[in-house]
Amino acid sequence: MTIPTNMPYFLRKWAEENGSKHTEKNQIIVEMLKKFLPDIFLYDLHYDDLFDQIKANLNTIKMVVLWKGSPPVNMEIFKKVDLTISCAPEEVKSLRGMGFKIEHLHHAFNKNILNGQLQANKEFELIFIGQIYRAIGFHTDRDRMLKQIVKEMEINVFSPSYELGFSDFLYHLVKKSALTLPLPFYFISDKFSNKYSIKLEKAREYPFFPYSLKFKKSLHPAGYEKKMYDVIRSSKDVLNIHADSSPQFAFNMKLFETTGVGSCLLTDWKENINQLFEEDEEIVTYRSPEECVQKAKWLLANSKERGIIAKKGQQRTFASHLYEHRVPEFLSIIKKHLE
Amino acid sequence: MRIAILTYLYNEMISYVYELFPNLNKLNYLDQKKSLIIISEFGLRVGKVLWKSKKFQ
Repeated sequence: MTIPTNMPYFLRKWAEENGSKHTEKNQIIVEMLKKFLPDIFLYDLHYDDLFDQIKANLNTIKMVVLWKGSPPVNMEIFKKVDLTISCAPEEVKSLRGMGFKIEHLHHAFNKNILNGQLQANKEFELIFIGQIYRAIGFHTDRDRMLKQIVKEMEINVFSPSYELGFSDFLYHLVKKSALTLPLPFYFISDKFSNKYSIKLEKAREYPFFPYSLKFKKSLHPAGYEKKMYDVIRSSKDVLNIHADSSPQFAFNMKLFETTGVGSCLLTDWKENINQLFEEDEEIVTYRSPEECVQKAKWLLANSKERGIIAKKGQQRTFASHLYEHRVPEFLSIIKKHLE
Repeated sequence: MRIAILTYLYNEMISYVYELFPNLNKLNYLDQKKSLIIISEFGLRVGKVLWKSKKFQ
């Protein structure tokens, strides 16, 4: 049973068809679960009241599992679940080090997306799709890379950052100033307050602007689902830059989305990349902005080779990186921990 | 083994589902569920594969 918890009409319809008197979201969800009586409960949400309500009301559950991506969450939840499954190897390493039960499972590609009519014409040369927020710990590498690339070649960047306006930039500037200006005061009074290093770190992490204005002209509005896959499919090269939270390992969705729709992936080199794809056969990797530009240009100039790499990348994704491959892995993780 | 998956959809995903199915709210529970599984999000995809495998509910 899958419950999208923030679709109120979906929940109300269930309540209506099942004779429930509840109208409040959490109460309906708890009632749905009470009827279903799950053995395993996979929580793909942030920690909130709902989690506690479910745990208090359902004592038949044998195991509570948390699915966690890369972004930081309230650490409290790790103490309340039996097992965490994460797509981010860095998270797995760090949480395991803290003594939590955690296993790794990669993202995957939804092949059904190809059943719809995806755009076939190659309209764009090099593109990047994703969030860009240049605060430390988020996307400083992305911001730096894109700034370098626009100096050398054309790139189309599809990002929610496109929507940010003057007020967002002003807000960042004001907040950065508010964090930075009192630093001398904290430095002088550090003997008494010990707050200087914390305040300095906060001021350092916060960006002047949400992204560099140097690639503003390359920005386009973000697309989601079919619209996003259409853009990937209609691009010759798709650039991937992992978030700051994954300096060591490759694991983001773009690896599988790009290769899955049959476009050529140019991704940042990580130490596990060859476990996922054959480097320079099924995908292309780079280790520096200079290498990225050089390889992007080469791929654009060599359409035959680019097509072969894209085809092999897609074959690899179909053979190893579909949800049909991940679900048996997911079940064997569950079974291992149930025993 | 009965597995329940609780998930969350980003607003953009919800807008996309409504673009494709403007009458989503009027559909019954099962048809709403079928409409939602076009989304490629982890919880829904894993749920769909489990459901298709028939071994799991």
